[in-house]
Amino acid sequence: MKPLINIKLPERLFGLETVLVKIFIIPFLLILFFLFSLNLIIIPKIDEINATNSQIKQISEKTKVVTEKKDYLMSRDQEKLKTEEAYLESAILREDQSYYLVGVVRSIADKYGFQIKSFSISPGKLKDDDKIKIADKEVMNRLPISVILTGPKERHLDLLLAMEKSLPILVINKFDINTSGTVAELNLDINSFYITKNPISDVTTLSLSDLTLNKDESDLLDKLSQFNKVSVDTNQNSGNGTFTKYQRDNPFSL
Amino acid sequence: MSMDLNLLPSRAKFQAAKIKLRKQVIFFVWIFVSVWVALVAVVFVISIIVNFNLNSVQKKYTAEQNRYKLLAEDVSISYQIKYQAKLVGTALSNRFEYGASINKIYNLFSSNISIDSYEIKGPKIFSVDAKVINGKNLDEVEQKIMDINGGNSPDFDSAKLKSIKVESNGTWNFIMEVTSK
Repeated sequence: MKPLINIKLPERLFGLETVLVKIFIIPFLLILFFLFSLNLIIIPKIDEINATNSQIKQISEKTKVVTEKKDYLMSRDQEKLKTEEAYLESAILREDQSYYLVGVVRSIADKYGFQIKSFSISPGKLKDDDKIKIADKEVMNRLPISVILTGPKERHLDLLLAMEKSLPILVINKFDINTSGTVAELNLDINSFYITKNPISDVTTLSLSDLTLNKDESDLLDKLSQFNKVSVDTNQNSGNGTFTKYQRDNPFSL
Repeated sequence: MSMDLNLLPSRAKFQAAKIKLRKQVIFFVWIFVSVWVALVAVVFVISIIVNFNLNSVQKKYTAEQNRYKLLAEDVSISYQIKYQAKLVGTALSNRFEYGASINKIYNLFSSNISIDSYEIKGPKIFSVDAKVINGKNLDEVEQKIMDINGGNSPDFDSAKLKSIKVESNGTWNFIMEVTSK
């Protein structure tokens, strides 16, 4: 068979017989091919395998974390979870509701025969002290009120204890007592708290430690379960009348 | 014993050496190619296995993630509980409980000593007005003050007797100032 390209070579190349040089051409080309394939195919493929392996490791770890979270959530008693949530929800007010707070104090005072003689609320700009921060983030504000209560002297301690075991949480900042015979007048500066920011975040980004309670928090929940939830009927002045539809063309006519 | 005598002419010797060398080179080329093919095959097989593993762990992760997402409501509740527990803990951590402190003052002494009234002197400071019917029970008052000041009271930091007087009927009245913890 005639070769496609017929190059006439000299008898000697680089001081060697051309025939010998021809023998080493194929191994030489093979080594070249090997070096190229090593750089272009094998090493990139090995890198790809290493990258995939670390990806597998990462996904396995993520799976482990998700499984732990899922197992933890499934192991929790649903009833207990709802009860804890209800206690904590009633511990801190949802919004700035000073009149609601007065209602809470009135409701507790009523139980011990005390009446509100006067109260004052101070809406307006909050002081820095009134802003509660956790990790430099403003999370809740104080809601201060001042009340003067009058009632039976022998029950004032029960009233104070009841206030300290009530939900929403009441903090007595100032307390003065004046007694006259069997009547006591309590001068109280009280504050409660309301949440300023609701921490809703993507459920998938939460870690197990964001969901589990530590010992202090569990103890706190046990403590809260001994508190009394005070509810105030905010619609007590709106009445229970039924809606009547007057089909009048002119709303000002009778 | 045989003697290695090469009787071939020099051109023929060269041809024989060339054939031998070519054979060796071909042998080397075969080995080299075999090793290369084996290496490539091993790398590709490992790559296929690793990709298969990746697919399977990804499927497992997606399945777990979907099961977890079904519990989104529980996640939200648990997170709210954790967050609000932190807030409530912060709110309660600095709260001074007047009721609980006054209750402790009333339980400071045994029934031999009666507390008539108390006055709030300042944050955590209470002035207690009490009386002892029998003078020998004053030892209890002294002992209590020593206990509190010696750090043996879980509820009070310090105590001092501000005044003491004896009535004509033998009743001892005293005023004691205590600082709550």
